[in-house]
Amino acid sequence: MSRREDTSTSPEILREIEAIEATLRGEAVDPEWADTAELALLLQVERPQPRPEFGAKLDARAARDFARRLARPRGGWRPGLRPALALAACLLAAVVLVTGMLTREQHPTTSAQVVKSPAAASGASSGAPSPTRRAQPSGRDADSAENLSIRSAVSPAAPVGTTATRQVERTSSVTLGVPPAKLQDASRQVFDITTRLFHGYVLSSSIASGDGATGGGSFQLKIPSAGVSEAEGRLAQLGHVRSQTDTTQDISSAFVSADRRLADANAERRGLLRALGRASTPNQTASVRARLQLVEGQIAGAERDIRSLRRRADLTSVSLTIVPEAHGAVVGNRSGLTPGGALHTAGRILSVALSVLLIALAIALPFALAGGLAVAGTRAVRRRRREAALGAT
Amino acid sequence: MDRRLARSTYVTETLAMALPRSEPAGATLEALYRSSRDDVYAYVATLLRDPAAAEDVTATAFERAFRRQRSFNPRRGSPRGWLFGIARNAALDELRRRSRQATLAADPEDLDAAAAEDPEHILRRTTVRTAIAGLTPREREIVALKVHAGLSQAELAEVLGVSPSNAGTLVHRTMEKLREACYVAS
Repeated sequence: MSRREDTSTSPEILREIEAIEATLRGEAVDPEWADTAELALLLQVERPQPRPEFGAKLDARAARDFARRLARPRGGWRPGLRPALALAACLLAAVVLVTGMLTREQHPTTSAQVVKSPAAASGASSGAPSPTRRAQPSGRDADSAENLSIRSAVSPAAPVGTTATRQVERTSSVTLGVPPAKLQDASRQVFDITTRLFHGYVLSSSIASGDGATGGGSFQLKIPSAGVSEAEGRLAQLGHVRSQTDTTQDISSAFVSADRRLADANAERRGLLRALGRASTPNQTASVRARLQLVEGQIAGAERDIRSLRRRADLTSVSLTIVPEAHGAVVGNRSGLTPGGALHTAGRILSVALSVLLIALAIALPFALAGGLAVAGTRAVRRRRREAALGAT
Repeated sequence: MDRRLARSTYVTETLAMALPRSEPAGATLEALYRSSRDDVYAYVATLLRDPAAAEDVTATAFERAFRRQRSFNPRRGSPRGWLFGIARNAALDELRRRSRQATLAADPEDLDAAAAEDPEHILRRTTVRTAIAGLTPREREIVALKVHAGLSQAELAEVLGVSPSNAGTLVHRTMEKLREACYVAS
């Protein structure tokens, strides 16, 4: 029951109050309430009266306030705006969060690219691609660094460094989702990026044009290792990266072995040449020549192995697959917007809006509860202190 | 008949009808000020028992009312109740700040004027003053709001934060106490 609707006051009390109010209005009251009326009048006589000077001063002050308030345009900060502003701030925070989540969802390799960027930058700043990719394992971990298979979020360059002793072969596999209408354009750009921008080459390619899910393409790319991170970033911009796998393999031991074989063969060749100079009989000469021919074959083989290993280190094999992917309302339909697509888009927009709202509420609720409790507590304490002040007089 | 008292009582109802739903702005707030200025002072002075402090607190109360006029909600009570609530808070803040009891305002001019009155009347006034002095602060506040400021039962309840029936009971008990003090003593 509200205070205004409270009618539980006893009739006697109501009559007494009516008698007091009638007396104060100067009206006659029932003789039954004569004492109360007299008391009310006597109490009324004790009513403090303000000094005329104070009244005049307050009137002048009030007149100024009224004039100023009437002259002031409405607007500015209103107390009621604060909750609205707080809610708007929460909505903004939620939008930022949701946008961030959506961005991560669409570009899962973003973090990997960030990690890779220093390597890419160093490669780019050196101008031409470096002849070998160097690695720096930490001593005893050299053997365990032989085979490293690191998936998308981890940079393949992370566990290896840049000393002159390590040769690392790197391979990468990327699957891109591209809207069907953009398949041809994406395939063309793959060639451009690989050959023109990063001076690599397309080892093989297979592009299938077709309607909807039947189209697609696959490419075997060779890209200079120094710029492969940047090149992958460029390729990722062609569509939605569905998956990416980067693999590194330390081929230093094979390289060292070939190098050693070459050195040994060269040394033996030099020795054979000296022996050939010292040969005095036709048999000796023939024997040395035969041996020399064999060693020169070994030298050629070792040199071939070294060149091959260097190529493996210098060029990263990128296996790129492009698949058609639904993009907004144009799924499987090149002609444009369809009712089904529009419904799908509308549903997605609504779900995102609902997510934003839910996150905003999740952010706002604890603050609102804490704020409400603080305000209620402050008011209660203030009220209690005021009542205590009254009781203390 | 005291015209000022009559004005205080009737203006309350008039203002309650005339004020806009959202805030007692502009001319209506000015009307509220005009009709309630002396009542607010009387209430505050009775509460503080210090005329000088009562003037300051009255001015503060109206300043707050001007500043917070947008906080007025007609669903929560009348403009007069709202104004006296502000005045009450200002007075209690002053009491807290001072943390001392002011002496009852005794206007020397009143005593001089009283000297010319009927001796029996002087006796009654003295008796009433003594009775008032014997009241608790809360009871003195009831007298100030009901008799000096002329608040209705609903407004009294609004200012004190109690139900109207509780407010009526408080008035009844206070008057009963005063009656006993005055008539039993005399």
